[in-house]
Amino acid sequence: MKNIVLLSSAHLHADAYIHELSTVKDARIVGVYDNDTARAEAAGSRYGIPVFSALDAALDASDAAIICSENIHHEMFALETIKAGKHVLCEKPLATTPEAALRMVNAADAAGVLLMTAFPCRFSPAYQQFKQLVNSGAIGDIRALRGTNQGMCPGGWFVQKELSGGGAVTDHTVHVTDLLRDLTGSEVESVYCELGNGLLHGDFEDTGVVTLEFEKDVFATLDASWSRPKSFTTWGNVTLYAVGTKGTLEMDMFNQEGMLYSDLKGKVGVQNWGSSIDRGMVAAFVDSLLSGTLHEKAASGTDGLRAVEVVEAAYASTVALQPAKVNHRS
Amino acid sequence: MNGPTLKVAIIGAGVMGQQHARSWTQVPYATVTTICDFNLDAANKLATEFHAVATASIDSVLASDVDVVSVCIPTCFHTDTAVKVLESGKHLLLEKPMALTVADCQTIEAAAEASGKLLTIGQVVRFFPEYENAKRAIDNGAVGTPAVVRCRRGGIFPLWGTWFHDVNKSGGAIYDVGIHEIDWLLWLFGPVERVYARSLTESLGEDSKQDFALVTLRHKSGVISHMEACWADPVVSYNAFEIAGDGGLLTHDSRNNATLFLSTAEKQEAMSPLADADEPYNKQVAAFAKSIVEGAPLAVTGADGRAAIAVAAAALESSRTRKVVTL
Ligand SMILES: NC(=O)c1ccc[n+]([C@@H]2O[C@H](COP(=O)([O-])OP(=O)(O)OC[C@H]3O[C@@H](n4cnc5c(N)ncnc54)[C@H](O)[C@@H]3O)[C@@H](O)[C@H]2O)c1
Repeated sequence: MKNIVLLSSAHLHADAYIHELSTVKDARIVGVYDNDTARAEAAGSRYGIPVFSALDAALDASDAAIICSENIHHEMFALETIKAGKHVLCEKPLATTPEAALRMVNAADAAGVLLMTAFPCRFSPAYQQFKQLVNSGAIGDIRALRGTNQGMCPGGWFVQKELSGGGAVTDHTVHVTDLLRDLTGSEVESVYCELGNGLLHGDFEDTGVVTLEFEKDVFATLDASWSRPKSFTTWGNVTLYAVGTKGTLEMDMFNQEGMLYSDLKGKVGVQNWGSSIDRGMVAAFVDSLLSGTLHEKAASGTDGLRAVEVVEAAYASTVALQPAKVNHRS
Repeated sequence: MNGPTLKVAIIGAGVMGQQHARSWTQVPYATVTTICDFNLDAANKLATEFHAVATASIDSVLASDVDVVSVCIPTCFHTDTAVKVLESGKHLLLEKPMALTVADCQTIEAAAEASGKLLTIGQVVRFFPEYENAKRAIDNGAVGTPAVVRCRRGGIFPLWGTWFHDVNKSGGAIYDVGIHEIDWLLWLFGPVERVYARSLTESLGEDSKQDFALVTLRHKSGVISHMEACWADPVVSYNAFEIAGDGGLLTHDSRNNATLFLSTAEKQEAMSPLADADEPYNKQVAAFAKSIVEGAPLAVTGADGRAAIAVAAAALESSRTRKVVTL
């Protein structure tokens, strides 16, 4: 039985991870710690789990931690967890700078603990089959890719750069970037990004269209915009379109849904019935804890770092107004 | 070995038998030990795949020590085989439609009762996540009080079997395809009071492998359901529903639910994969295993299977007589 502690519930995904963890054998959630005590209490009663008042006590009681804090605190929580010799599943983006992400990766390596980045899209049955079709040669060699991860603006700390590190490009570039890297087996060489704040007019970017050039002869674009309005039917999407030498393959990851037009709520919304991608990811984390090595489908700390490097290059390109080379750390 | 074990036999190694074998192997404590088909080649082929014993003799299945049997043979043979399986003291997962008449359903239920073994019917649509979700949503009042419902299923004629075009063997599209919607409608909106139906079933046969039925149901609750069962499209099969109530509308159309679309010179293919544990046929078998081993209530009972047959029989009768049939 593996004991897992939740470190902060600032990120909404904590709800899903806790729920999925309750369905996984061989692991249990021992409690929550948060630097924001009011939020810790709220999470404790929402999930019906104990609240730790000190981080070291929380880590003492655990084999591993799931970090769902504001982006800026990922590094602190991860380094403390690693120092205590415990394993980490960290919400994306792994950190707000590549340097911070690299410190996390190096610390985990030195301590011999697992560091997994929360990229649940890898566990989507649609993506799994997409990858399998591509690898089996169904569309020949991939020449170009087009992706989106459009969403509603989550608001709150996500739009406070001192806590998030950036707006839509920070939040939404990393998922699809990770899928593209996983799919092509190739690193991103350079990035161009156009971004703006034309939707919400805040001091953070809410639109971002990113072009990626891979070391392999493949290019891709991805739309990371918070361009789904409040009145939209769902939170957003993850899509991928691959052009191969022998055909094309398209994915709309969350399209397994019906529509609910509700006069009671004055709202049109989707009813999604697809498989939970978080379940696969959380189960893979627990598997990793049991086996002592990272699950084959899981994203490592280095995968998290590579995505953060792409975000860094995206921002750099908006200053230079030219594609920016990705600076790969090791 | 600790914990429960289940030995499983499959009778009928056709399209559904293969599906059942695959799903049973997903249950950690179940083993498919026997495949029975009076076409021994079919039994051998499937048995090899699942390292099971092949046989053409139902009697040898009945005499064996298997705990549970999936019966996946043409509908006209369901009753005889189901009764024998239950009488031999084995649990039974019987493919839908349960049987061709209400009287036959009662015979099967009586055999289950007498043997004390569990009987469930493969009304698998209850395990399709989109249909399950609708049940939950409607029970939670998502559309207020439901008023009018439309649903449809089918498309391409099932050319893989040589028996579907014989209405005395399959019951035609109403029994074979429509039974899914009927069961789901009963599950969501309760018993049906009267039925009116039109269909092409009368002309169905060796020379006209096409059937199409439009059925209107009036539920005791007042809900009106319109159901379409289709064996008439050369290319496209799909399912869809919409449920309108005084508080809203819930819709589903499988044509809009692809998460993958492959396009090459050879083929165009839409796909919508689920995790293994969420696959409806796996869930159906897992739920039955749980009922057998843990005593969990059956998701689908013999009485449920019979209730659906009663409505299908009424619909077929209505389409033949062109008269409203009251249940
Ligand atoms: N739940 C679903 O989605 C679904 C889909 C298709 C069919 N079905 C139902 O499953 C049942 C089987 O349909 P199918 O499509 O698999 O048919 P099929 O024609 O593909 O296979 C039937 C098999 O049963 C064998 N068989 C026939 N009579 C037998 C007997 N008396 N003893 C032993 N073997 C016998 C045949 O040789 C054949 O291999 C039918 O009741 C059908 O309505 C359900």
